[in-house]
Amino acid sequence: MKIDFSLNGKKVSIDTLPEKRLIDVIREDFGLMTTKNACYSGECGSCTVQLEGRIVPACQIPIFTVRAKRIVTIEGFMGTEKYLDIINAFNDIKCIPCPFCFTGKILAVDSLIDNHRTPDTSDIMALLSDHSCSCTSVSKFIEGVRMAYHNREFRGELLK
Amino acid sequence: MLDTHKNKRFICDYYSPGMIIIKIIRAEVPGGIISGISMPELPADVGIIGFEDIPAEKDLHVFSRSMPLLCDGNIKYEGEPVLLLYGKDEKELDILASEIRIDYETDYTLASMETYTEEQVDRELKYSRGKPDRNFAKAHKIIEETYSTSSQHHYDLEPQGAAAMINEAGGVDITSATQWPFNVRDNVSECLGIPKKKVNIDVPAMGKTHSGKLWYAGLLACYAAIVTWKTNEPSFCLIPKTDSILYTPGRAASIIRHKTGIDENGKILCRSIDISIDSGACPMLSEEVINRICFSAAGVYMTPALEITARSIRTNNPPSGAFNGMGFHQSFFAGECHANSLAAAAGLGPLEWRKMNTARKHINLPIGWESRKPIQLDKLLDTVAEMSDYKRKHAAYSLSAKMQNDFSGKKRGIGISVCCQGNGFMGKVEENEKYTVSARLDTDGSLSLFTSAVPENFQTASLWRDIAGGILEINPDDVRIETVNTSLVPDSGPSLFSRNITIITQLIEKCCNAIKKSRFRLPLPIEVKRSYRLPRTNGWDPESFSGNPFPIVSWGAAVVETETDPITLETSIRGVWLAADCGKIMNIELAKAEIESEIFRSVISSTMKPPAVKYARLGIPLTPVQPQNPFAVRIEFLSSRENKPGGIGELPDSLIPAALSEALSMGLNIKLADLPSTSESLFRQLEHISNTQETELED
Repeated sequence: MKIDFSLNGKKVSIDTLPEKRLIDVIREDFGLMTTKNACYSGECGSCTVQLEGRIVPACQIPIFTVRAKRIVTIEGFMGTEKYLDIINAFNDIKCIPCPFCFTGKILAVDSLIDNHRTPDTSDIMALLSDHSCSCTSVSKFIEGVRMAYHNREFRGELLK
Repeated sequence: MLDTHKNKRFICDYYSPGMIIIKIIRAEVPGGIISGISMPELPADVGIIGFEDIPAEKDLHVFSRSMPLLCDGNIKYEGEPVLLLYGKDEKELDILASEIRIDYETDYTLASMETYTEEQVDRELKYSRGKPDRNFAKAHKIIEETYSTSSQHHYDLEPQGAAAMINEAGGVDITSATQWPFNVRDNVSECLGIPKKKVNIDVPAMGKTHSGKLWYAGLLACYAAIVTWKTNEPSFCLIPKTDSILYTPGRAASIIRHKTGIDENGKILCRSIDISIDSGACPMLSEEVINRICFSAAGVYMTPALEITARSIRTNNPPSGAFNGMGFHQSFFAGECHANSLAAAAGLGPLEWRKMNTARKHINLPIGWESRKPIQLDKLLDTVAEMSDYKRKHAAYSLSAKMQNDFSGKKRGIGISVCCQGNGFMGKVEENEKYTVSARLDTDGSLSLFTSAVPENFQTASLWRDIAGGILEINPDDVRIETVNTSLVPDSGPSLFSRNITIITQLIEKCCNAIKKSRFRLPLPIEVKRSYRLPRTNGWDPESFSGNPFPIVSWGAAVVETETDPITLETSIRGVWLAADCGKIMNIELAKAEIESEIFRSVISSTMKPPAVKYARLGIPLTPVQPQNPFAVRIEFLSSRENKPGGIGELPDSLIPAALSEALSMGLNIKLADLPSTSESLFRQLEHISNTQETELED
């Protein structure tokens, strides 16, 4: 089946089995290996991508459902100002999640701070509960998300 | 810079089309003898490997222990690898794997840990000091209790795997997600029957391991090596997450029986402790676990007379392995929960009783070990009690708990515990090993560190850079930690977080200090090497229980406060307070962050059901989730008399379970004796109390 969709801002097309998982398409067909896969059951958060601005576990998305949709992976998100808001915030407070889980967490944080006026602690805890890697200090992570929010607010991005 | 995920290749990224994929065919019964294997017709590009096809050594070795790389005909546990099916088309392999039928004669099973037979005892240690029988005879009260802890998985997020290819030297290059690359190299060289120098182990980027990739990685590396050796093509072996959780080595389950005699004032007179640990089918590290569990069994309390019997038992469970503390977790859970019962029997508060019985400075621990540095247990307990307002809360919650039939409002409880952490291995397993780190100051002023120790996290790597940069007065960004590759770095031994902090950090310091001394006398580049060997004299002797077990011991105390709904039994943590004396702290912020993340992990593992095959088969999620509600965490470090850095990461796992269990028990006026403390175990305890009360009323 031929499926057209937008991947990291570019229109792409793929001829594949309709039930193939989005994570496999991203990694195998497009070679975007920074998006990770660990559990294949939608629980661990390592394969998080943005689908139409919403975060989803790519291992639970059959490729036919993304027809004509916008997908953003960590590769497409890296280098954007939004990405720097988050990276700089976590860097400043020396909160360093393990590199395996952080890619998924970054996209989830972006979605959180875009969709909440001021993300409160329970919002951030809910985010963390979708990412089962317990590699980092929770209070530092909360602080990092808040600082990322302030970085974005400072740039005026949230007012748009 | 933080972009630690940029350009990182993890083991799961090493697959490329055209590589041979390896599927592990596992045993479906926990014990038995293979009576036959029926295979489908295999296409020409698909192959299969069994025990007899292994080219040379058929066992995996870890220190002095070994286990078969593939099942030798006798099934030892459910999920034991029996065959390796390999080919290039994963879907085809899945279909073929489902058509392979293994027949078993299933009359060969071992008893469980609860009902073990003498033949199942792998190792037994007995220790006795003083005259326990005489002291029991004169004890004012004798309290006997049994505690149990279940097996636990590390829940490291990243999958386990290995990739292999033939190298130019006619050997193999292996990429292995391992914490112990030289052990992997030795095992691969032995199983292929080729010299070690022809085997090269490269360690890719790794997520946080929680000690889950210590020795099991060697098994997968051998599989990839064997297939590549046979086919002459690159191969890739990655095990599914569910298999990893169910079948790779986790923390050993335990049953610990405490019998303690106390005098009229509540002081310990004598203790008798009986310990059984489930070492699973292949006791690879159980010697170390049993040594450590004995060391910590009587806790940090003065005990005039003591007897300990500890045994590791072979069962039909997957092999148990390294996990934070390696035995300390189990023994401190039982010992600290028992301490609360002793306090209650003496009519004292848990804090008061602990302060009365804890080892004073320079007094030996019950096991016979004499601390070379003063022990500040009183101060630790006072600090953590003050931080948490323990005394007031304990008094208030004790009063509230007495109103058993009051179901209005949530029930709060508070628990306290105290422990120590040994850093590095303590048994004789390492006595002939020598671990090395080298450093090179280059002409451009940058420093390269060479070690096979894999930093557990970015913080450890950052700490090493900061220390090296500080000593040599160079920018930490100019300190490079070279990629772990066995042909480029010296053997620095197995990488455990506490070991990295203590032994490896000291070696890095020594290397940098040596460079500092000679940097203005010798031309650049200057390269130095420093090694560590366990002391041959006065090392720990597990037979006589004497000597120095660890290069450094850290100490800690913690308080946990909980709130439980008495109707739904839904529990939340209100706060955790932890005080530690862990030697020289290199970076307080990083140390606090590390302890905090371990506190959260410990809370999760203390309240989460252990994984079981039956849950996996039902499709029930096996991965843990973070607590939905945040809780306050406060950590304090005491100024230490020890000038070396000590480990910190294992303290929460030894402290939190007992304090949490006590807090839950207090809130609901029950006595929890099993770990994990799930809502189901709370319900069973309440049910038991209710049945007992009904029987009493009927009588």
